[in-house]
Amino acid sequence: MLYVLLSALPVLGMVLHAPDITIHGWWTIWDFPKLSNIVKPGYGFSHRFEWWFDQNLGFRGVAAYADNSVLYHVFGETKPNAPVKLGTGGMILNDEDTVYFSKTDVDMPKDARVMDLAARVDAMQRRLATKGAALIPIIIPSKSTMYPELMSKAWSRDLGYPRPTDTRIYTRFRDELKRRNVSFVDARELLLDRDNPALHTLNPPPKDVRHLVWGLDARHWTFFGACLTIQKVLGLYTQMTGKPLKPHECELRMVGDMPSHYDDYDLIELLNVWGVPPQAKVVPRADHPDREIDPKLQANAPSMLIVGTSFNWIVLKDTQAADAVKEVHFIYYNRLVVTWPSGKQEPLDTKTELWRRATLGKQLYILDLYETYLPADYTFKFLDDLDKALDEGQVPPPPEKP
Amino acid sequence: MPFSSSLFIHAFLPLFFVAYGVTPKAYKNWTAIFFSCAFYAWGAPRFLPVVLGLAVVDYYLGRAIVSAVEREHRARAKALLVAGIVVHLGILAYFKYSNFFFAQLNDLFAFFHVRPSKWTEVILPIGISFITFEQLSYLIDVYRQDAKPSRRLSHYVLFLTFFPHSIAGPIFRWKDLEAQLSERTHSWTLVREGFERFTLGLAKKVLLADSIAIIADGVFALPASQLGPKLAWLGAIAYSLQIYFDFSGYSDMAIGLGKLAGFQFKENFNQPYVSASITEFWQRWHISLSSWLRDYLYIPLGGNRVSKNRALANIVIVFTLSGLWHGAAWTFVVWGLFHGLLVAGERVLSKQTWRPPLLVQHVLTLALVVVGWVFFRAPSLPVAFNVIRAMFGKTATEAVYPFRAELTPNFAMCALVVGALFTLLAIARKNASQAGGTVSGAFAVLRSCVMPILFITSAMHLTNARVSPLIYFKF
Repeated sequence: MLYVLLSALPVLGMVLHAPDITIHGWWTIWDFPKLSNIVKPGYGFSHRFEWWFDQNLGFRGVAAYADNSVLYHVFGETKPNAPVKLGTGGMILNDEDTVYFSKTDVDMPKDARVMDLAARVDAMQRRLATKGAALIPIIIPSKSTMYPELMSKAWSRDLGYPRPTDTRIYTRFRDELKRRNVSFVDARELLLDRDNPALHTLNPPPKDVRHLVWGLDARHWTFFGACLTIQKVLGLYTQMTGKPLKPHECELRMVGDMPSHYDDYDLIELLNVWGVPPQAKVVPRADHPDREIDPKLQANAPSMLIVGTSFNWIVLKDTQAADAVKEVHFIYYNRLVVTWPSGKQEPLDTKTELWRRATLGKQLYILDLYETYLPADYTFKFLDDLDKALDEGQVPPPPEKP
Repeated sequence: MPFSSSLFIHAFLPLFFVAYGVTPKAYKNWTAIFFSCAFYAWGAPRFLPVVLGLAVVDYYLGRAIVSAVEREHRARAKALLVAGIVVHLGILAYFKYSNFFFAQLNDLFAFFHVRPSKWTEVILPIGISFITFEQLSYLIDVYRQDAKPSRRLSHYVLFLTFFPHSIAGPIFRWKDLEAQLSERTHSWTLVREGFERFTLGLAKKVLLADSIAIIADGVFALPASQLGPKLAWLGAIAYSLQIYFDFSGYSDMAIGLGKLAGFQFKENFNQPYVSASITEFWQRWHISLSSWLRDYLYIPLGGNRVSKNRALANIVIVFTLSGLWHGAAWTFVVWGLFHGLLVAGERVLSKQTWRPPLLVQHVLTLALVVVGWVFFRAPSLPVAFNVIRAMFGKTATEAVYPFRAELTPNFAMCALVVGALFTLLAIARKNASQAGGTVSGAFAVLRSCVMPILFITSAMHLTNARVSPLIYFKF
C-alpha cells in the first residue's frame, strides 16, 4: 500500500490544494482542455491534458527543488535546458551570456550587420539632433564580459583572449561608432573600470568592486551600476543639447535583508534549489541625496523614451527616484510599450496614439544596446518605425488630460 | 501515455490498482480490459476500433481453424490460417512500411527523372508491430494445435490489449497466458513484488536511460567533421547502455504491472551484455522476439533441418527481417543483416575446437554489439558510417561545437558509469560463483528499504523534467 500512497500522493495534493513550494520562472500556462474537443481531430486533447496535469500536479515544487538540489549539490550542474548556468566562484548566469562568450564563425553575426547598426544609430542620432533631441546609445556588457575568469570550462569554448565576440562585435561596433563621431555611453568600459573612484567609497572595501555594479547571482546590473551609467547618459545629454540638468548623484549605500525577489538577484531564485544562499547578503543601492536644486535645472529634466531590454527596469526606477526625467515611456524589445511610472503596458502598435506619444517628440532617447544581443533585430525595427514616422511627418498627440 | 510519465504513475496506475482491487474476481478481467482500452485510446483513439475489430476477427478465425482441423479439413484450416496471416501482415505492411516503400519508389523515380508518385503519409498506430506478432502467434499455435482457441472473446481481447505490454511488448504467446486469463492468484506479496519490479524498471528508464540518452543524442547529432574516435566510441557505448536500460526497464515495468493484476509474465531480458558470443546475446536480448522469430519464421523456413548453407541463409534472412520489424528504414535492415551475418559466421566457426580466451570473447562480443547499435541509432546510413569511421580511426577536423556541459553533463556521465559498472559486475558475476542464502536475505531487506526511495527519486526526476521555467520578464 506504501507504493499506492506514494503514487497517488501528488494527485491528492493537487485535488486538496496542498501547500507546495513556488517554482520561480515563467512559462506558458496550460488551461484545462475543453472536454467537448476530446475527439476533435488535430486538437490534441491528450497532449493538452498531460501538459495541464503536469503543470498542476501536487508537490511539483517539492519535486523540482529536490531534483534540482541533487543536480546542483552532487553534480554541480543545473538541469539540461535550464535558463540558468553555473560558472565558478559562485557565479550564475543566463544561458544567452554563455552562448555570447563562446560565439564562433558558426553563430557570429555578419560583420556587415554590425556595421549597419552603427550606421543606422548614427543617422538617427543626427536626425533627432535636428529636432533638438538626443539619442544616446548605451553599450551594456554581457555578464560573461564582466566575469570572464569565472566562466566554467564546461560552458565555454577554448577560444583564447580576446574573445572573438570582443573583436568582431564589441570592438568593431564601438570603433565604428567612434569613427562616425556618434555620442554614446560605453557602459562596458565604465563598469569594468576598477579604478573608478565611485567604486572605492566603502570602508572596508569589497573583495571585488565589480560586485558593486553587477552581482554574481544577478541577471542584470545593480542599481548602483545603472545609476553610474545614467549619470554618464545625462552628462552626455547636456553636452549634446546644451541644456544643463540637475546632478545625477549616485551615493553608494549597502542594504541588507532584501527580499529574495529583489532587483536584481533573480538568477538565484531561478535555480529553484535548496541550500544555496545568495552571494550578496547586502546589495548596493544608489541613493540620490536631497539637495537644493535650481528650479531651472529641474525644469530642464527631459522627457524620455528607453528602447531595449529588461536592464532598463532598474533604470526606470533609478531615474524616477532621482526625479531626473519626465513623461517616460519604455519600449520593451520593440514588443510592448510601457508607460512609466504607472507601469501600464500594451502591445506595440505603430498605428496607435500610445506609440506616437511614446516615440515622437521626446527629448531624450536611450537606446539599450546589450552586447549579448548585438546587432539586435528589434533595434533595427524600432529605427525603421521611427524613421518612417518622421518621414511621414507624424507628430506626437496632445498631452493626456490628468 | 508512456509508463514513465506523471499521468501514468500518479493517476492511471493508482486508479487502476484501486479499481482492479475492489472489482469482484469474476469481473477483474473486464476492469483490466476497460483500463487497457482507455490506455490505448489515450495515445491512439482512432486505432482502438481497429485493434478491437481485429481481435474479434482473430477470435472467430481461431475457432474456425480449430473446427476445420478437428474435422480433418486441413486444407480449409490452412486457407483460413493463410487468410489470417495475410490480413495481419497486410495491415502491418500498410501502416508500418507503406511510407518507406513509397519513399524508396520516389527516390528511384527521381534517379530516372520520372515524376514521383503521390502518397499521403500513413500514421503508424502505436504497438502495431507487437500486436501483429501476437495475433500471428495465436492463429499459428491454434492451427498447429499447440494451443486451444480462446473460449471467451473477452479473454482474447485482454490478451491482446492488456496495457502493460500493448505498446512496447514483451510479445506474449497465447498459450503462456491462457490459463492465467481464467484463473490467477492475487496476493499482497505479488503486489509488493510488482511495485518493486515496476520501480526498478522506472529507475532504469528515467534515471539511467534518459540521462545517458543526452550523451548519445549529442554525439549522433554531430557532423562528421567534429567526430573523432573518443567521442564516437563514447556515443556508441552510451547508446548501447541507453537502449538496454530503456528497453529492459520498460519490460521490467511491464512485468511489474502484470504482477499487480496477478499475472506472471516471462522475462524478456537476461543480462544480454554478459554474453560471450552474438548467438548467446540473442538468447538474452528481447527474448520474446527472438523466440518468436525462431518458432514462427526460422523453423518454418527449415531451421537446422536443411542443408548447412540453407540454414545459414535462413539465419541471415530471419535477422534481416527482424531488423525491418524494428523500423521502416535501411539502418534497421543493415543492423539486422549485420547480426545475421555474425550469427551465421559463429555457426560456421562453431565447428572449430579453438576458442579465444573468455575475456577476449566478452570484449569482442560487446564491441560487435556496440558497432551494430550504431546502425540502429543513426538517423541514416551515411551518419552511421560516419560514426563507425570515426570509431575506427578517422579523426575530427573541427573542434566540437556543443559545450562540454551540453554533450556530456556530469549527471549523464555518472549514469553512464553506473550503467557500465552494472554491466561489468554482471559479467564478473556470471563467471564467478553466486552468493549464498544469507546474502539474498540481506539483499531482500535492503531492497524493501531502497525501492520506495528509488520510486520517489524517479518520480521526482520525472516531474522536474517537465518543469521548464524561462527567465521571467519582470514588471
